[in-house]
Amino acid sequence: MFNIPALSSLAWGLVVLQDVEDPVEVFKFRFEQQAGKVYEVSDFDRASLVVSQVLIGQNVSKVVLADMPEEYRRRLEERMTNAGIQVIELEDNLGSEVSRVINLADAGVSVAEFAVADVGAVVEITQDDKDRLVSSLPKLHISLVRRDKIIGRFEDVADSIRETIMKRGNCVISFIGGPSRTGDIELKLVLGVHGPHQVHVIIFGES
Amino acid sequence: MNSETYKILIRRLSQALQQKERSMALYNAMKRGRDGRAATIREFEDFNLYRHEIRRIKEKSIENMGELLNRFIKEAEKRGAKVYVAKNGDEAISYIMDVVKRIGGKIIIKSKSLTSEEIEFNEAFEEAGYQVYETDLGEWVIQVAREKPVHLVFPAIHKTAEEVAVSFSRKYSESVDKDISSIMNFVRKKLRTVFLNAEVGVSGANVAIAETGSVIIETNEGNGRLVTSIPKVHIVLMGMEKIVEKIEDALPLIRGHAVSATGQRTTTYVSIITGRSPIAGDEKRELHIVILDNGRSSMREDKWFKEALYCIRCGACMNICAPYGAATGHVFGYIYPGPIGIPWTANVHGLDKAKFAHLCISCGLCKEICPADIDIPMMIARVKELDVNMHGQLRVNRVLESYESFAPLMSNVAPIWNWLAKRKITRILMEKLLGIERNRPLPEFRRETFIKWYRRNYKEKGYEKKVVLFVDFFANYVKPELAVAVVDILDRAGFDVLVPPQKSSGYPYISYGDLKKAAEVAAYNVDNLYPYAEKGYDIVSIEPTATYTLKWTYPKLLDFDERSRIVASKTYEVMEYIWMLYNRGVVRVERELKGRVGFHIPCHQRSLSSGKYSIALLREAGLEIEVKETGMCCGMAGTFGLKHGPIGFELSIAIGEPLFQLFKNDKLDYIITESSVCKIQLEQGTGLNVIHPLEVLNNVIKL
Repeated sequence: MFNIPALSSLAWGLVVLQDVEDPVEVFKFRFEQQAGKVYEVSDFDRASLVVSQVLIGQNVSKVVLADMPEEYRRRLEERMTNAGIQVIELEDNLGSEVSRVINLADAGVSVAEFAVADVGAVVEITQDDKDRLVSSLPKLHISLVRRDKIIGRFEDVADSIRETIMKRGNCVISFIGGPSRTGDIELKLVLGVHGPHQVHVIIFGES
Repeated sequence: MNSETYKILIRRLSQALQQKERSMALYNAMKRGRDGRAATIREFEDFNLYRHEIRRIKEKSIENMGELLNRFIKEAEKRGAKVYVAKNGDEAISYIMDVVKRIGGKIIIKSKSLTSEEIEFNEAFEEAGYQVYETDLGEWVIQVAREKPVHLVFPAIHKTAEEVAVSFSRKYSESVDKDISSIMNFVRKKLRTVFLNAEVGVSGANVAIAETGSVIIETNEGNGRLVTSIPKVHIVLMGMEKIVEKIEDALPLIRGHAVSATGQRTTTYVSIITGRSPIAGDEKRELHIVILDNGRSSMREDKWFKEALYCIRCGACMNICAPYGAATGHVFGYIYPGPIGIPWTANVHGLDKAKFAHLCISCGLCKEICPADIDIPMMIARVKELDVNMHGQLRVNRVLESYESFAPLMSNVAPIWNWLAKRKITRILMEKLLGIERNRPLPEFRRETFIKWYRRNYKEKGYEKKVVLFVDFFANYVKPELAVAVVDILDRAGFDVLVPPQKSSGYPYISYGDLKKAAEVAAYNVDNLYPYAEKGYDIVSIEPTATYTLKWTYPKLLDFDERSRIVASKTYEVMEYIWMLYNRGVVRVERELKGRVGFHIPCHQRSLSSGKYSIALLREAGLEIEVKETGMCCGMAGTFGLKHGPIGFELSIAIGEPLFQLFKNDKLDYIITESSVCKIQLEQGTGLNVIHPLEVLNNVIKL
């Protein structure tokens, strides 16, 4: 079509987040604009402390953890024990019954693979659907993400998506941009329809 | 026109025009969508470039649709999915029904899928005794009320919270309070049980990726995540046009979709699903991907309707469609509502279901807002044409589309005609015989047309620089002094002004679905203008609709032949041209005008300058300019507002009302617009004087 100029993918007219702009700041701004909450801490240990503080603050008594590196899990479980919060045990081979178990939790905690600043979303990669339920069934979701894993621009994630799929095969890559929301009735914004009412992101790692 | 279905359409429109509250709710939703989009596109350096990128991706994908389909199937099957290509809705439903039966499923949960609406999925499965739950809130409200979506993004926006609460209470014999948080608690609790017990989850797909066999699902409520994760079987039902080649192609569609729909950067949740994951170790789970053709292959082969496949279902076109807002999506739609719903309905549900095409007033704004720059107006014109070919044309449309053929006669007997046209009896007769609304003031004809004046008084001075003037109807028959003023300014600036033989733009032929005649006019005008354009002369056009037609419509009507493209590339709006002269210092503007003046941007100018040159010059001349806009059409829409009845004058005025208020609520001396037809509407609606910018600028533009 003659009136459509051919464009290189570099010139889409998108305001690229310049290098001068800190993706962490952009992420924080966007995610909070989308009704999420963001904390920044120096390391995972601090992050786990914030997790327990948030859970205590929200009177959470049962929490469920998504699949995550063992050292993270151990640290979080210690914190929960100290705070008197029950970590729901997900036995192997529960099958779809697992959804009923996760449904009992007041909160779900997961570790995000990365985050995208300009659309304000954390990205979780799961190979078992129970891990998706940890971030979608409870009313409160806390997602932890490493500071150096915050990518500037949505359009730049293509390669990591491709790599993930090639490497892991069947999987679900979930972008989560804040609490579940709807405006379907009278256009009034309501948070937490089917998914979490609150989503907290804790960014950890040295700046 | 098939008189029975057309009469039903008129009746439904009349009823809708009475339901002010309903249309107000929809109006607010549309505005919310437009405003959200407008705010977010400011974050782009040039959103048009992004639109063109989206268009390029869709063009490429549809071009290679067959190949991408095969690749997608291969990749998805490699990852364990079962893929089924369904020729039509019946095939899709029977395939899915077999799957559900085989696994002994009883409860089906769905996340929003317009494609499932398209094939009337719920009706089929409910009839077969299954429990089917829509889990998107708006969709569920519609399902419980047994209605169709009124809007793509906000399907139940016409319902108040109270209506929703009552309808839930009735259906589930539980009391639900009418405040929104009580409704939400009810919804969450009720559907949570359903989610946990469903064996089958059905979703659509916003995009599918051939290289990985992945499907992408975008939702805000989080229902999509539950639908695709909890049940044993996940069934994706998607249109064949959704497949793109690469991940890089998918990402701009995801962003473009959210930005255009609501102004979100992306929806709250975007899930890229590749194969079926196990759940807590259970591997015996299924993913079925049903790819629906249902007319899409033939749309792809159709020169007019191919573009409909570029639609990414953002709903932006319905947010800007004034008659859709006034009529509501139930009247301005079948299953697919709104502007893009017209070509889709005609192709997947049949021409007789697309009768609402005649509610389109051809303002063209749906194209301007479309993230894939789809020429929706032209497809609608084609649907109208197909309908007219089958059922005949309305007399009033025949009269109005060929208005120019009466003009020389009217002009010759102008004093008598103008006198007659003011008599009540004439107008009653015109209304009864021709269908032209008696309460709509008609422009008065002049005996001395511009063309006559030009032949008699103008002599080329042999300047080196030459400009061609495209006059159009109004500046020839009704207000020749406008064209004379243009000649005067250009002459003083050292241009010879050429006026080759020409017809008025012919746009009404498009409005009323006569593409053959429109193409004849296009060919005539291009034939006459091309020799000058080829020599490098600029074409200056006075009427915005004519400029729009020369620049965008003629090339399309003439299959983008080179001559039409050259004419298009040499065409300028008159005020843009004068501004260029001003900018180069050829003319200057004296700051002698005073007053506070309203400015109206005609729809067809939105793809051109949006009036910015007029506004700049008027401000330079000392006027205080207040641009008033609802963001939609003023309702006159060329000759549409002249027609008697609901599909005409009544709809026209209903659409215009919010804009009239904006002008009336401000203390303005008069209104300026470049369009001769918006002028008629605004004068009638506001009681203010409405003039062309040159009527005040002519005296202050000096050498």
